[in-house]
Amino acid sequence: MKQSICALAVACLMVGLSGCSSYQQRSQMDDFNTAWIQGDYLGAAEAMEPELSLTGEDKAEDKQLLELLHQAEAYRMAGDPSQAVELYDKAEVGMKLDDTSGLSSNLLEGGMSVLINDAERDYTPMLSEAVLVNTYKGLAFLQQGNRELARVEFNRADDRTRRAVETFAEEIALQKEALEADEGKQQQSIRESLENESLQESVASNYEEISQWSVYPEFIVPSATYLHGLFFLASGEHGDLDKASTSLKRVAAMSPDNRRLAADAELAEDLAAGRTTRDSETPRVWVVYENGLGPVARESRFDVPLMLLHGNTTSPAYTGIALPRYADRKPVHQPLTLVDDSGERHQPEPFSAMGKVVRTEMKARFPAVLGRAVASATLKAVMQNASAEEFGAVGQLGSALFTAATTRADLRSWQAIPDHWQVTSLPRPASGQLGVEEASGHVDDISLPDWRYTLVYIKRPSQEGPAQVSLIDLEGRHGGEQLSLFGTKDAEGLVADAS
Amino acid sequence: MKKLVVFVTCLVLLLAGCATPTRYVDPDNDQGEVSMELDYRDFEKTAQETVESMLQSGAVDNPDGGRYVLVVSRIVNDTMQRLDTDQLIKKIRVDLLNSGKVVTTTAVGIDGAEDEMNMLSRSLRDSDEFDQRGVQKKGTLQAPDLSLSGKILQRNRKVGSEQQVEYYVQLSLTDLSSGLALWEDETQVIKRGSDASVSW
Repeated sequence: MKQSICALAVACLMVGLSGCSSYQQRSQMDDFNTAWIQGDYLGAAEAMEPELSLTGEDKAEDKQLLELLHQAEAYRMAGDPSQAVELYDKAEVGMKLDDTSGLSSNLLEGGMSVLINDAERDYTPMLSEAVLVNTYKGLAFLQQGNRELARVEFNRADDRTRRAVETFAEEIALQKEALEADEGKQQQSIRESLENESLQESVASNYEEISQWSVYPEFIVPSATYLHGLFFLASGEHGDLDKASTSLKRVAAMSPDNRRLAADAELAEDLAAGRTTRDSETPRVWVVYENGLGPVARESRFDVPLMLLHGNTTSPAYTGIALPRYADRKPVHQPLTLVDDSGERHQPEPFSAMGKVVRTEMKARFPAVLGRAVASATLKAVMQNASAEEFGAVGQLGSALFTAATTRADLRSWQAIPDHWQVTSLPRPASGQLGVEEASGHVDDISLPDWRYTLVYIKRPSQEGPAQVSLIDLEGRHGGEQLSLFGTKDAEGLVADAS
Repeated sequence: MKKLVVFVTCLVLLLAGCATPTRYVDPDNDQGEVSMELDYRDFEKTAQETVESMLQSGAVDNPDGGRYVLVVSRIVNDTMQRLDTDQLIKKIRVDLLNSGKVVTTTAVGIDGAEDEMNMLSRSLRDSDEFDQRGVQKKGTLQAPDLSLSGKILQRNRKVGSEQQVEYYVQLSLTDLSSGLALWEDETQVIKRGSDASVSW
């Protein structure tokens, strides 16, 4: 009886801790999103202040990675690129720690995730998120007029893209290796369950038909590759045009309907081949618009048949698993139009839908995600059986409660990224004035600095909040400017009401 | 209770003893761990090879017997590391100066003079406060004959289960009177190690 009570107490404690941390995360994300949508970026950064460790000191970077990512982008939006870079640097340290932390810590984390759920692991960003960390950092350095360090960051973003494909294959191979290396009963059950057609059918009917997802033919974050290409197109350094041409052609191929991307790829190719020169080209303005709120993970729970071993025979037992399912949030539907001196209107064309990027990655990683969920469910089912045999009804009830409470998907993600990007470009207006027009007809003028290649980088998470505009010298010779267009006053009112 | 105190004291002393002690490193014989990033050993090796190559090529042998005046142009860091390219170039400059064949000007540079005092000291010409005999005369600064420019590239690839990081230090020495590159060289630093994470 004593043992039963003890087992139940341990189970309850773990469930309690798991539930408590999940609740805290949700509450923190809600606060962040409230401020983010309204354009209160300092408020958003404050909402994501990482908790201190038990000793009262800052936690290690990998333990506060999710908070660091949100804070860094909030500071970039608030017009503080140096604070953003500092936080993004810490986030990169966290990612490296996460990649390289010792075997014992990985085993402990892996064990926790199987015993409880993936949400108990330290946050590991999606590879698309990691690529964007370096891209945003590159933009922040350009904003500071630091082209040397911007170059380093765009190179890093490119290398992370290259590594991504290898990483997906490795993750699946490692899991397979772990299952094959150990001939224990549980491993056999997990392996047989994963190979079982009924389980695959159950996933296909209850989750989503993954083969039907709209994905890119290979892993890419088109916006990151595009900005990489644009930076090297504008740099003017010997040898950079080939890099620009490769990146811009790759992005154009991913969005064949986007005429602007095709024109940029052509320009880079012409410059690289010497068919035209930088001096003969008129100064140009690129407008890149980050639109809306990016996808978030929702939980999808359903029963799957697990092949549990009893003696020498296997029998199916239906048990619940929980998987993350990515759902798109809201883009800003009202279009922004750029108006030049002659009154000609330039409509940014969409590309790099974040939902498609995330699904491309998720499709590649899905076998590993499903594998962990099935491993967790199998372990809990075995525990449930053992508890019932050992402690009777109390044990069964306790382990059932534990299973029900801990079967959760990891729903964490970086929610400061957009629904999609849009792009257009035009010759620099002779007057230096560029009109930005909302659907309502309201036009705000931007005074463009006298630079050869200007990037007007707009980010607007929601219609309620302002459009944050960064004027960036793509050649990195001058520090940039930051301004807010539309909705600023309303947003301030909303923030005041909300607080 | 006593036992516990003794045990805790021993544990603390043991842990303190385990802390890595700080020590001097002999730069000429450093067998310390190699990182995937460029470190001072790579800069040392690259500078040494570069200067040897430049001196052997005869590109800096002045037929008139004097020393050439060199200006350091842009050295682009095209890697994934936050490098201080001045650190590498400084070693090259020191070795070239020691060769007696080249002297570097600090009066001009791609982003302005390396030593602004060159011009500031000349702004004293009209000042009554300074003894004008010591003030630099017009036309005394020497224009550069040669320009050193280059790029540090990085290429990463997977080799088996490991990561290979290749650095290429490419330098050119241009004769500023003709615009011709008198000397060019590429030094490679190739490292192979864990592929668990990124190379920076």
